[in-house]
Amino acid sequence: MRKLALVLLAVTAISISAQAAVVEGVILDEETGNPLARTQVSLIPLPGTQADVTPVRTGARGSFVIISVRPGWYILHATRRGYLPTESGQLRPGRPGRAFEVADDHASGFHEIHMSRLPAVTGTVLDENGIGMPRWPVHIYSANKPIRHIGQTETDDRGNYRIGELDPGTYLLRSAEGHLEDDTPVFATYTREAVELARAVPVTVRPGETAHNITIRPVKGRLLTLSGIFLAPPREGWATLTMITDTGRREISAGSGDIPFSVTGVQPGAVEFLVKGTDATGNECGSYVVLPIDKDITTLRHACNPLRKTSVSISGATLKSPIVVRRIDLDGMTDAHPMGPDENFAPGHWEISVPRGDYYVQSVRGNITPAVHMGEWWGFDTSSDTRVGIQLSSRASSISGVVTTGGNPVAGAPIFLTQEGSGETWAGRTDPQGNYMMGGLAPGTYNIISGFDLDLLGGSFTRKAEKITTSEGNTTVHALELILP
Amino acid sequence: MRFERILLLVLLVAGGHAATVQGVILDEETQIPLARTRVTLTPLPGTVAPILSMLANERGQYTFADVKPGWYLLRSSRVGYATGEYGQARPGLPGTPFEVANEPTDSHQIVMRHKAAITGTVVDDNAIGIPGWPINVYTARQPIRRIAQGMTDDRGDFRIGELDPGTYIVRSGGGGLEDATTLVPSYYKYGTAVSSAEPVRVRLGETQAFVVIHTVEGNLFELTGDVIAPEKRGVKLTLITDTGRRNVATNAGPFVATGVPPGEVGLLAEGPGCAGYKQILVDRNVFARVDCTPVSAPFVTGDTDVQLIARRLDLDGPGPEGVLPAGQSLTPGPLEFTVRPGPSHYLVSIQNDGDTSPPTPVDGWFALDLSNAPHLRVTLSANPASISGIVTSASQPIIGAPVFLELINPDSPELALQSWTGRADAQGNFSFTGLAPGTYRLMSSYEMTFDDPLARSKAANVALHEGDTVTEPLEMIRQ
Repeated sequence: MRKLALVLLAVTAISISAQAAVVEGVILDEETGNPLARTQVSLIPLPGTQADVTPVRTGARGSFVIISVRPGWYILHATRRGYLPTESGQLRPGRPGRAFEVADDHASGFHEIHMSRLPAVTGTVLDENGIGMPRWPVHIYSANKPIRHIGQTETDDRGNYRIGELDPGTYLLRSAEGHLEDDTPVFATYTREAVELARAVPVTVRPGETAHNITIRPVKGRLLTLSGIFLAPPREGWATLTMITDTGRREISAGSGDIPFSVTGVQPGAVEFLVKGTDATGNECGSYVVLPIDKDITTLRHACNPLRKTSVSISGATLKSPIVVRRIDLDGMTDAHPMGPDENFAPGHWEISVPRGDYYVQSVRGNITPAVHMGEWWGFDTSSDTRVGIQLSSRASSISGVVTTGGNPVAGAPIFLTQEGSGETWAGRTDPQGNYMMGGLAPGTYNIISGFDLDLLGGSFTRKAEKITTSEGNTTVHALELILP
Repeated sequence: MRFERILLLVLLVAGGHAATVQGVILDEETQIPLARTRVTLTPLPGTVAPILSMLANERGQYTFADVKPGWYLLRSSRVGYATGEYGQARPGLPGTPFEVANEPTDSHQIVMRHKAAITGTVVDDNAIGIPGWPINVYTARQPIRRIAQGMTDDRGDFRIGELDPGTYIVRSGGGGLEDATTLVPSYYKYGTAVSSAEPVRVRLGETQAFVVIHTVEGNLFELTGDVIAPEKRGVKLTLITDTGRRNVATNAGPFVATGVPPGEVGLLAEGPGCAGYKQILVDRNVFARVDCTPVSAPFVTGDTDVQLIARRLDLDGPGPEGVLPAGQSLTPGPLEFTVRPGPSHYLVSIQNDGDTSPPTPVDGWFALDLSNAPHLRVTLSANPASISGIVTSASQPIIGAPVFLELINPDSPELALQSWTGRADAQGNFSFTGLAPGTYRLMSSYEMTFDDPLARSKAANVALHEGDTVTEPLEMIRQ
């Protein structure tokens, strides 16, 4: 019996050694060379390699070992808070890595991955004499349209601030509106001394970089007072009235019945008023309005209107997973999340993203405003009675081909595809034979490019990409030459 | 013409009774004007005039008009800066008084220095900064108290500013890393025991950098329990440790709190018409029951004519102080009490009625564990002691001389139990009244405070008994 077990063990070991290998390596900090413990590492098979994605965490010394790896082509991908996602063999931070082959032996080489920090912005909020203003809020916005509030912080005791963990890109920095020690009002002010967005000086940050000395000098000016009546539900009901601007939000009234309200220190510009509550019978009510404010107003009226359940209809194809939704307010957006079966779009502005599949999104229609397609998101306004129609088509188009360099196919070559108009992007890889396939596309015009060192934030994408027009239900075959560094 | 003569006469009369005090407030590092700084003109004892206060303009300039003749001190205050005084040898030291006569005065410039700060990094075992990690700062002197908190940035770096000069202990919070690894609160530089902590000393204007905390792995615990309350809804349960507080339940009933660091834990329940506090030692996964019961206002006996001043003293640091109105209830738990009875009395003790002995006061505060139906006994004495005298230098009285007084324990004189600061009047006379019996040290100087060991060595030691009226001449200490 014991002999049989030993024989079985030997056979199993031989079998594993013939069919599986080991991938190992270490994750290091690019700046210091120190190991990065507890980093998430994923071994991702290329198209055509019959294997699942294998996630592991590095140990206390930053090392990792993935055993029982099936032969094939793979990419190693590392993620960690505060660092740019990194791939083995990438030419520089933020670029796609090189695929590698795992053969039928135990050793597949040792992978040393150097991770770069996410960019940061530091600076100072200064008063009219150049003295740092302590404990003053600072906001950061994406500079690319649509401009969105993406974070905030507060200056320290010297008036200095730091906003880290940014994606590489271009940003706008802005101090908040408020009052100085003597109650002098100051406007929310963009870098360096601009009240208007058009005069703001954008800041571009690249992987591993910290942009220093981004000073903001708040501009003095008159802030506004808004007042009116909050028509909350009668007794037993309860509602809140929240004012939202692009520098934050505050609850300005809450309760039952007709409640006068007044709010001071309001920056001129767009202001959202959001009402949420329940009526006397426990049913949800709410309302939303956005107003351009350029003077004091005393006649505002905000009611809590009965809400009807949101209706979302999807036709033309079947989704394998729920649509993803997020709410957009002037002060930022909620986390994107799968829409729950009982979830309602509260009055305001929302965006949805349809999971990709072997279909494409023909249209998204809201009953309040037409939906706007930007990137992978479709945005629309909602009210107390919101109906959204999503029209899918199973006659999606696709683009396929082979990526070569010097006449040779490139295994694992990165492919970037962007739809003209919406700017929606797709990313993929070629299989070990250099073939790619991008499916689920709407008919239209696309820009496509393949390369290991493309500056997608800069101009290389638009300069070097090739244009392809697809038609409904068809596959366009297009050979690509790898763009060399 | 007649009108102009009358105006001139009015101006002359006005000029005979009041003057102007003006000047500018500057930042010491940059010499840049400090706009909107609070400036206060305080008369010395003996000068009959009100305290005047204003904000400097946007150029840091201020002007007090109609100042009555006499001797004054000029102070400036601003967020992030140490209080400035006109004529101080350097920021942090007492300023010099000046006389306002019936004529315009010179410009009075005050140079302000930033308060102190500590910067550093919280690192893992590979010296990689840990982002978004809590940081706590404690006073190093006993009793150790948490006085500030912060959070590391994306690089694991932190900065705690607006600190008074002194010695501090810096400590990271506890929590979980990306995997199942848990870290216990760790002191600078190493270790989890306060005895292993390396104190950090900061002076005004200084930033003490490179305070690197090497975090220590260890077990965090699970605290389960039950909150018993008359009504289930609206009962908030707060978990308090010496590294902070968090809400762990919003209704009565069972609760679970995970990631609790080892050590003392306070559980504070607050609901409609009820409150409860329980303090337990967590050294493993434990169960705790917290009763939220009706709370009544303190029943005060003894000397009840004085206003009771109270503040919470939870594990995460002292709360704001406030006068306790008669009939107002207090949430149970650890609190501190004091009274300020004026010069004719001194505070002997505040204690829970029935306790055999009162707690030892710290800076005049008595720490008590308050129940839901507290009975407090306040004891004053109508027979306080006093110290007075004249401050001289080379036998000449020093007008407005700063005088420092500390109550000390003769067995450990390094530690002051309570401190007072005063000023001599225009004749150099000073007086401290309403003092409890004890051993005091006393000194006057423009160049040092009791923080300086030299000042402590040169100070006069005075033993006061109940009702003593001691006259102690003081020679001003110079370096």
